[in-house]
Amino acid sequence: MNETPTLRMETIMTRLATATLFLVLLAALPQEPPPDIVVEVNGLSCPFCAFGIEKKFVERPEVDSVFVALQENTVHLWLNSGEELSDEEVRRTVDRAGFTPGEIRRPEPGGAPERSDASER
Amino acid sequence: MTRLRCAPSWTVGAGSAGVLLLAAVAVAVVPTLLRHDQEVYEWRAAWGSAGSGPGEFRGPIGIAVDGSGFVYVSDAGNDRIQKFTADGRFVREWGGTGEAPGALRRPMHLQLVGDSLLYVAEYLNDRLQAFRLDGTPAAILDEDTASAGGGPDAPGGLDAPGGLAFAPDGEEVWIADFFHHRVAVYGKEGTYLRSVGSSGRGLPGRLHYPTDVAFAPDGSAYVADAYNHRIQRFAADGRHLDSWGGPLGLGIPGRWKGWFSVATGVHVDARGRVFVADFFNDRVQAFGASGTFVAEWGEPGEAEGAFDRPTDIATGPGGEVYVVDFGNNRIQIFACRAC
Repeated sequence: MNETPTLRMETIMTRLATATLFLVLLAALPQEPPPDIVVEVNGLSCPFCAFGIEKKFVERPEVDSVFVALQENTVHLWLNSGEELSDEEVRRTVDRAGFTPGEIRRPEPGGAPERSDASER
Repeated sequence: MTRLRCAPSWTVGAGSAGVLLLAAVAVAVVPTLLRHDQEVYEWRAAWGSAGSGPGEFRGPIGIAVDGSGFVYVSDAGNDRIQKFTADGRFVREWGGTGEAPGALRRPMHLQLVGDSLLYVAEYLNDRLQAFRLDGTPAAILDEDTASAGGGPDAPGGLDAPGGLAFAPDGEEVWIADFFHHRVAVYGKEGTYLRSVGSSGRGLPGRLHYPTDVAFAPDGSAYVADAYNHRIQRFAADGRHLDSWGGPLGLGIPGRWKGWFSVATGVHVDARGRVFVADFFNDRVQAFGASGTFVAEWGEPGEAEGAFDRPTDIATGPGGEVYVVDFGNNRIQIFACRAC
């Protein structure tokens, strides 16, 4: 049986409403905030080194979580609420892990997340 | 006039130094060029891929094989241990991120003790944890370690233990204490006893970021002196016995046979063969007990038998050689064709 124009319009409207609802729900899902600090560190391809630098940052009370992006040669830091970590402290921690720190960036809050699925630990 | 008189003598001096330098290089390198493979290892099988599901890995590091042929792999990025049959079928997993008994934070090299306990070096928890072979937590060795409250700078404090080995009599456990550049020796109950090696580059007995330990049947211990690019052997009382890797074992990296570029894992099989994971050279090398070169295999890549930064080796009851292929997130099996 052929659909009437009215039925076809109802189907389109229903699908549009479903898609809109899906997008709204997707936007409402909690998203990982961008890191507070991103520091460049060369020579992170050895896991003993990468986990070592992760360890030195995790041991700091200011740091909530750490992600080491081996392929990007960067360490991403999320700080505990209200905590600060100066560039000098970041450099000292990298140095304690046996590395030379590179550029230190502080991404804007609300910016795009820097952690990508392509990164590996 | 003075310059004219001095010039020839300076030239002669420089010439002599050059000859001496060339002679030294020849003495160091020529033996390397004369080395040849005495054994041949062939690819048999592989399993694993990137991920966090059963049989998948996120940066595997350590491996051990028990007397029944079951294979244990530390899946460091996923903070878990996975157990497989000898041919790679998934059996079970345990761990999960945390500090409580049974949880793990960056499990690294493994050691089986008496075919009943699996010891795990926990890099971020600064401790050793033992599990029964069904994954049940059995013990935490941390009486004197940093995790027991002494801090990493206490005499027995560990700072990123990368690997361990129990002495043949089971009385002592030697731990590669990465950031302290030493081997920390503990009693089997967890009491700190002493240090072996000290921080430094190149010289015999000096260690630079050691990552693994393995005992020979005679009670001497091999240490993967990772960033000195060499293996060092110590007597049971801690005396330095010998070093190899690069010219005269002085810590110079390279790609020739018997040289290393970051030696991350060491394993001794039932015949006394010493296998070394030659990380940045993407290969495995085998040696006799005193460092005589025996074999090498592997090349960079993803093909069968190629590696992307191998980290550890274990041998099965039938002599099969299991290699952790860190960057390819897989385990590869090899067998010796001419042994």
